[in-house]
Amino acid sequence: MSSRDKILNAVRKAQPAFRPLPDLSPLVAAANATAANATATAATASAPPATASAAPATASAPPFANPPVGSTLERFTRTLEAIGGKVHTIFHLQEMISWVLEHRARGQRVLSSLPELSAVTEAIPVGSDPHDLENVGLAILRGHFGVAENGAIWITEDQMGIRALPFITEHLALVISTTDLVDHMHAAYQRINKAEQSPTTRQQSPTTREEATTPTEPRIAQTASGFGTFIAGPSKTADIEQSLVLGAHGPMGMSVFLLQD
Amino acid sequence: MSESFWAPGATHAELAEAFNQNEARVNWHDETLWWVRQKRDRMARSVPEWELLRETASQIKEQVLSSLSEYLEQFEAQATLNGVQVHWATDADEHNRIVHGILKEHGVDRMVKSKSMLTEECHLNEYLKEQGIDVVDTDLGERIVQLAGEPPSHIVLPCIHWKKEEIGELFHQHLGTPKGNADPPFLTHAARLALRKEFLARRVAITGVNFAIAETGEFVVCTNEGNADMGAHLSDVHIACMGIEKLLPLREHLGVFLRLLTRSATGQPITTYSSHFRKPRPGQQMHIVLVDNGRSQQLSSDDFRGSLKCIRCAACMNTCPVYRRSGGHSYHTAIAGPIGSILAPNLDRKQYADLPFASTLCGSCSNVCPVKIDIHVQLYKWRQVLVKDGYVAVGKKLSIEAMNYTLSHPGLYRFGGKVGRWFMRTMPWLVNNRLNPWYKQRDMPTPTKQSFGEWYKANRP
Amino acid sequence: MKGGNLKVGLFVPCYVDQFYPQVAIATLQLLEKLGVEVVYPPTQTCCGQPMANSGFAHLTGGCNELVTRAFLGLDYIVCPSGSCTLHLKEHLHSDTLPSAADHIRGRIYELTEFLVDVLHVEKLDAYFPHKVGVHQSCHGQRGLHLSQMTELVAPVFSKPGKLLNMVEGLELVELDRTDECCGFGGTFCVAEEAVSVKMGKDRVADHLKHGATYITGADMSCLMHMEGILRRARSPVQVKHIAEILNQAR
Ligand code: SF4
Repeated sequence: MSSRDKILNAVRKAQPAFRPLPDLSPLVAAANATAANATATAATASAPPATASAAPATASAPPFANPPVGSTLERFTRTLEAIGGKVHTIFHLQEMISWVLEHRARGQRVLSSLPELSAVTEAIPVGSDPHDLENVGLAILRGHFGVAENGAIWITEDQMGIRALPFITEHLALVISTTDLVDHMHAAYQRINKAEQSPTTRQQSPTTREEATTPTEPRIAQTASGFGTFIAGPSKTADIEQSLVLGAHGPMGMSVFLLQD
Repeated sequence: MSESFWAPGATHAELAEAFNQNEARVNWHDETLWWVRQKRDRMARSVPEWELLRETASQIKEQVLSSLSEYLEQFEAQATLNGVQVHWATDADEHNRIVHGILKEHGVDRMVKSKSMLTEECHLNEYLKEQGIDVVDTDLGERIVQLAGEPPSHIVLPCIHWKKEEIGELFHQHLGTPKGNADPPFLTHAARLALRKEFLARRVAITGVNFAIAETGEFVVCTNEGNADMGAHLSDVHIACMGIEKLLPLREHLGVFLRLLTRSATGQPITTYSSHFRKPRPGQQMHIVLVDNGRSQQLSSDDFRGSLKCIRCAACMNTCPVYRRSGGHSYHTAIAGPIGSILAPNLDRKQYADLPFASTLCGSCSNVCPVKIDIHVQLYKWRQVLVKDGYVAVGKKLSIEAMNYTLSHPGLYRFGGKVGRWFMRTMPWLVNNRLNPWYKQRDMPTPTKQSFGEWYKANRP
Repeated sequence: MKGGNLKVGLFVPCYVDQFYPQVAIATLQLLEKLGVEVVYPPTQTCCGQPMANSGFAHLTGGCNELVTRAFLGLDYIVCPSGSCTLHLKEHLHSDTLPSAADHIRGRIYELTEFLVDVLHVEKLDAYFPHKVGVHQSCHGQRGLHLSQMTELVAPVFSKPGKLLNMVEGLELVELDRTDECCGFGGTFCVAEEAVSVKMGKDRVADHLKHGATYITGADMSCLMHMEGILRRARSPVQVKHIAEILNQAR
């Protein structure tokens, strides 16, 4: 018997009675409520009050929760800055040119996929050997959208040109529109799935073992991106005595340009 | 290395005692990890729906375990369609041979590897070394312990037991950094430069897998350093090694787990990179090795199946008051701490019979666990299994039996003589002499004239 | 407070019976003061936990039968130890009297949860003019939920804290780590002596750092361990079971 069949047989014998998948909607609703409460809170308010506790607390009781405050944009910006990212708000892509020129003045090789910056940047040599990117100082790419709860930006390989680029570059700049922000990761995957859905109908969560295992048309198009990643700030490590150092193997810095519509 | 790192037969208690010889260092280790626990608390509290998030994650994982064989087949079919080669390994040895086979095929004798607890569990590095293949660990913490010839002491923070001055000295010897420089940014930069050379020169990269999606055949690798991506995207061949329990049914389930993983692990909102690998890039080969190594056995047990829900966040280690004061190496296995103590006996009952006892059963681990594994309950249950199967020392067995005999006989209990005498005789920890571990660093309770039973008889006739 | 017509059995942990009879006396007197009729069945010995937690649960049949028979037909069973209570709640069973064992499992309460949840005590006639640190023993806290656990994102409460706040003159001190284990852990305290003692020293140090002159809690076993450490260090700080404080009149 092949190892494959041995493992599958053993697993089949060992696995317990079928359980249905949990419904994600209460969780998504709770996450939406957290975001709505945050937006409703005045951004200028100081630390939010702890949620009322059910009974008198001990002297040292910690607050029950400390939810975020502010609009989606404010939360995204604050979170990204807290993890080492730099956020710039711009009205036109041309405003980035002087910033690019500063990098070039330091002798850096600057690559970008944005046609608006083609006068001051090198086009990405799509299809070439990724090892040739070793000396890239700055890469400027478009991302799909940002996530307010963690400061991450979703980017797929069509936007990278070469998969290695956003990792090997000394500094990474991503451009998204201020309207391309979601509150949390549940919304992020709804958006990714929608963007990559196959033309066939969407399938509900299975409720029986048969449903779970009956082959159906895949929800996600086979032509969808072969690689995508959430990037949240510059590369970092705290492996030496928990002291945070930016620029472990990937970019030493990460800038996000939020394009106002 | 990790096989031979520990003296044969060394127990957690002995290794922990050795660790405790240097109290200042224990304090430092404890406080560093407590700080990580506090960061985790702050991050969890920023999500008011945290407990619902944990419950949902737990239910998804339970569902996966109930349909694992189907998801494995679905994943294999979809990954194959994506152009990925899927391999199956029943045990560590087969896993190592599969990886070696791929390397041989490409005529490679040195390669880069990002963090994978599975390859630690399988002792891949040692195996490949014997075959003449050099593995370069690229996670900074893993590289540090690798240079030092040690296994990681923590699954997320591999060199948490190392002080920066020691790392400075290690780098001085291995990377030629100036003697006496212990500045973390400086040392990190030195490692970056050295490892960049490796990334650019190596044709094969191994990564671990945090999550794999049955629906799409994709797998997700999370790092802060970007080392998995540097390795994978610069290599001709990417090998991803994963335990069969890493599957999730649908892509949106990642939303649940990526919210939990890094908040629980390091107290960050998410890792810097959460990379979704679906297809190899043109001209690249991508392999996935699916490894059982005892997992199907664990799956068959109602009591211990839940340990397969683990997402390797290490929150249970950071919160564990025993782990913080005994160090990861005291667990003499690849995965230390509470979760390691319920996983290891499944692999080798005799060798790891001590681990389920290396706990006070305080239960903090189960409370921080993002997938709600009942870790402390499983520790208790492993104790019962190990005693029944005869893996507990005879002396201990006899003393427990004697204690139980007294406690099962009220007559003996009441009339054992002067108050406390039977107790001191039969309770194994209360013998009042220097050989008694209790008395070494603690005083005994003061003997009383009257037990409560005697008092009650006299006062409430 | 409506203890009037309740008949309660007192379960006294074996080490309390032998070494800390004053804790059991205080528990008895406190319950009687609150109008509860208390009986102490003399055939009880031990909950069986020392064996079970060492992996010898299969030997605890004798203790189980003794407990089941001793506490037959009572309204409630109250025990001044979270750990023993939890053990009985989770593991008590009887081959000869299965339904009696079920009854006990559902009716056994740790002292502070009995006072708060069953008697609904809102006021106590107690006086203890000292700075007191509370040790949250793990089994009472994480097993019986005597107070909220710091790991969870959930509303904060504390049953022992609520009761101690009713004691005149008593000042609760804040700790850096409100619910870290003290390292007693049954046979762990000798099998893992080094770590056990280190955990105990660290717990004690937290209380000392914040100026506690007494350390209290709902489990005498943890307090015995910390007392051993305090005495060895010749510290004037004392341990006192919460029943002793709540029973302390002016
Ligand atoms: S057992 Fe839970 S807390 Fe421990 S590493 Fe696994 S997922 Fe994390």
